[in-house]
Amino acid sequence: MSNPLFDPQIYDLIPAQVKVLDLGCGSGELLAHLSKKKSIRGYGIDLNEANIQACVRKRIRVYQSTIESALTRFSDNSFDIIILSQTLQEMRDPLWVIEQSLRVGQTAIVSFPNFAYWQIRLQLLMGKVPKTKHLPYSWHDTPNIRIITIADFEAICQTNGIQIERSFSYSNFNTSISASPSNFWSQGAIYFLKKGGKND
Amino acid sequence: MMFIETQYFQGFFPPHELKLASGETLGPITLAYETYGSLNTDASNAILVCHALSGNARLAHRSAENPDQLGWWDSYVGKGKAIDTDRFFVICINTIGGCSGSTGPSSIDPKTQQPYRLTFPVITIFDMVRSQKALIDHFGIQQLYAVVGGSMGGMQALEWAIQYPELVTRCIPIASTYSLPPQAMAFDAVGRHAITSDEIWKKGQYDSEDSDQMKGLSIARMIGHITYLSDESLKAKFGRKLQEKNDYGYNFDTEFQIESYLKYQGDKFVSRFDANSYLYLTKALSYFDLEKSYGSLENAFQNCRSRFLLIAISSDWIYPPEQSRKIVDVLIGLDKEVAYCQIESSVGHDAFLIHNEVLIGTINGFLES
Repeated sequence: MSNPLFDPQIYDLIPAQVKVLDLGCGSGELLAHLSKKKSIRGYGIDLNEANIQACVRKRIRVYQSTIESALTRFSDNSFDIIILSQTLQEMRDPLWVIEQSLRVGQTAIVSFPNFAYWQIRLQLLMGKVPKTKHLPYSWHDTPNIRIITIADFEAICQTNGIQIERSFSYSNFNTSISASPSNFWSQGAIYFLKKGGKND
Repeated sequence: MMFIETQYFQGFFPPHELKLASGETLGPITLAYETYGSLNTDASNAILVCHALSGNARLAHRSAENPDQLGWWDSYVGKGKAIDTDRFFVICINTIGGCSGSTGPSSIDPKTQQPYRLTFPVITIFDMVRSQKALIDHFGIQQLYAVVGGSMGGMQALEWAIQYPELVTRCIPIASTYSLPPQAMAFDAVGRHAITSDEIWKKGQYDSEDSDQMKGLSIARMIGHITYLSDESLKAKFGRKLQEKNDYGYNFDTEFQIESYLKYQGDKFVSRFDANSYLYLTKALSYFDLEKSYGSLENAFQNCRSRFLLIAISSDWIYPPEQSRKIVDVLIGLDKEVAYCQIESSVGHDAFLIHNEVLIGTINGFLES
């Protein structure tokens, strides 16, 4: 699947030359893309050794670590932007990860699959654990240990004083971006988050 | 079969002796080194590999005098290997203070025509690097494609990147540290005590015919060797197995396989290593502390222009991954180009000396990028 963060509508919102930390950077595609398009100074965190090697080969700055361990190591506001691209649903403590991201970075860009998407609801109604193009796993082998819906995500941001600066949804049929994500029609969503109580 | 000859460089003749960190001077200095591959016309393909405590200039291949013995990093350096000698000109220099051809405590002091022994000045990692720089200059190399090293060699690689920012394009410290952790200092101190309490050592003035009888050095090596391995690797390799008998002898003979292995390692080391060199080199390790030398790690790395690849070994408890990660944290804070890779291995510190596909792939990928 193509990463919705590759959409120019999204990365155009990232200022040039900012310092970016990509949590769960995989083989470094997104960082390579952002470096090319926006001249960012990017660092990636990943645990998988094949991913680390792929990043090293591409000259991506990469740090082999768990996301949790890496986050505890950085001091406040070390980065301009923290990216959590399709990784939040794999975290044991997603709220902590978001809060730490907003501690070490000014802005967090979070994308995740919406488990309240209508196709998923339909499959659950049929009594099966849902599988979609974006969620191809079975119940026993999925890395996605947290079920996130757009409604629940927005609620937890509100409860915890996390400011939603911008939001987008992407659909099942293409990766076109539309503002104001629908909990029913959106395959997934992208949020630009800021620390609450601050408008800098 | 290709044999590489050890070569010798001489420099730092008076009055241009090397000024050491201690304030003393050393010169003239002989550096024993080996090179692999050829230097290209613009001298842009040179890689310096720095060896660890017990290493030497024999990086790869076999030597004519000892054809059974492969160089200490033969798995990584050679045609088509992680450091490809078809592409790169690879240099490995025996460190000063050592005993494999470069000036060290067993060398003759030209002033007295006697071996230096303990009159050899105490040296640091910084001094080692500055002596190596003379050979790099001698080759007319303005830019090193990479400086690579494990353990003590990694310390040298770091010091190279700090001291000569414009020279070092890539820096690869493996299983290394920014300062020797107190636990490692402790083991080295015990090793030195073993040597200095050996009757044969005679305050460093031991008779050369006794040099292969140095029990103290053997013990020091045994202690060191334990720290380079891991509990898991010892379990897998030896377990509690007895060497020869089927049951305990209820005496103090060397009974267990692990005992016998350590004794073998100790004895083998004594036959090739100088006890005084061991004192000097472990002291250089103990003095290594970039925070003290430069005020802080931020200060140390601030002007570095190298691209860094730090590699740590998951089971390394003597130079634990945390030591490398702290360097990475600082480099990220300084916006430097850095990658950090933690090799999953149960072998312990010495994993970097053994063939490891991930290590090979990562080093190779970094050199290609």
